[in-house]
Amino acid sequence: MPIRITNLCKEYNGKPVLSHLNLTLESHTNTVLMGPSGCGKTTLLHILLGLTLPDAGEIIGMPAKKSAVFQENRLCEQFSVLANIRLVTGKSIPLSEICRHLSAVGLGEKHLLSQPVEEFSGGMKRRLAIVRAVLADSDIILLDEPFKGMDSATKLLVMDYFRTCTAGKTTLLVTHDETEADYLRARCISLYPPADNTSYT
Amino acid sequence: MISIMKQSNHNNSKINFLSKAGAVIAALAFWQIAAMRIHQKILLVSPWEVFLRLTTIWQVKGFVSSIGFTFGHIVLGFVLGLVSGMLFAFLASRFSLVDTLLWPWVVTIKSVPVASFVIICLIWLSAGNLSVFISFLIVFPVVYQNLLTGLRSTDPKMQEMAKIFRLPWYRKLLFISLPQLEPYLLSACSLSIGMSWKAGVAAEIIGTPDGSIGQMLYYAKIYLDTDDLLAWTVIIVLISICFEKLFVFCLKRLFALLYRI
Repeated sequence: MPIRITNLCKEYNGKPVLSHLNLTLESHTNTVLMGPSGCGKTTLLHILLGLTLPDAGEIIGMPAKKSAVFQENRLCEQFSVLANIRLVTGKSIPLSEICRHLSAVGLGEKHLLSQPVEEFSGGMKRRLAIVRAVLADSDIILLDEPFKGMDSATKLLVMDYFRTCTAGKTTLLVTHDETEADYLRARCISLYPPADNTSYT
Repeated sequence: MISIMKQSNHNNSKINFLSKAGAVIAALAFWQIAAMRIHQKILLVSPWEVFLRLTTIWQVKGFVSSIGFTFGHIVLGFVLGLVSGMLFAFLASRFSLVDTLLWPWVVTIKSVPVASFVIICLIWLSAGNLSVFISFLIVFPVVYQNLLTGLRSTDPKMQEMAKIFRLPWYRKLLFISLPQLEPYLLSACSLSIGMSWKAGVAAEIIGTPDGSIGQMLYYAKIYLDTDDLLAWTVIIVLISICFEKLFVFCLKRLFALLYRI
């Protein structure tokens, strides 16, 4: 069932961020949301996640089981990689499966599994946040610039992983980078609010 | 680069330790000179005489049992204050009414002098249990206010993450709340242990329960045994510091174990 967003409005301190947005997100499809800074991409993601209430509008068909990669990593820094994954998955996924996912994003070395996340670099934390979101039991994954801060080789590796693991799943990814949308072979939505704020292209 | 930084840190801590040791030696020398100049043991006993008394004071009848009595009572009061302070802080973080209702009690406990409490409580409680209650009274507001501050400053972004991933309450507590509370809990314990010993012993001096350190101090005051008075004071300070260090060490180990889940 597709997710239908109708006439969605949101403003902060009297300044409209989203104005009468109409959008349909196809289910079981990777969708990439693009647009200039400040056009409301993150606000839309937060509304879809249920973290922000819209001023007006309707969202129909949003699944209850959600997973996310936030703009910040939001990991439990003092805990190990395994503990951060188990935090969201519980014991439902076997260790071998977790290791397979971590290896796919270049975090497969055995000693890393028990290492506190606070000792990781920014890029490693980002990759872990992506694996956590992919492994969490969910019907939709929402990602806010998930590949930022990665070098090009790592980015390709992680995008390959993401494309493979999310095939057939509903995902919505926010990015500034058009090449990411091309590489992920995702449906692309550009969020360019018109000057009169009446509708989006 | 890292080894140079480590070497520099090591040198700094060495200099810090040496400067503190120097300050202690200077203070002891000042005390010794003052005691020699006054030359009246009742007024001021020298540090050397206190040291000599410390080497023999363990032979005093009831030395171990009085330490055991005071230690047991003050630690019991501390544990009661710690547990109830934590419990009420959790409740107050969830229900602001609890904080509002506790506010006059916490303010009163913090501002009323310990001696007033001791005298009031002597009417209700036996002298033997007084130090437990006074120790509890001193620890409770410190733990309660520190933990409440910690709970209120929990990162909302982590709470959002917990909400999205539908984490059960016990995982939120273990993975999000407890790590953020660690510094608040450590500082509350470190601060309140010293305070509970000061107040607990003061309560014992006023209540003079049989077989307590407070009674020993009281007798030392009555018989003008200044060396006994100071020797017992040194013992109290040493026990208080050792207990504080041990407790904080155990708490840190517990957190380290938690992080290895």
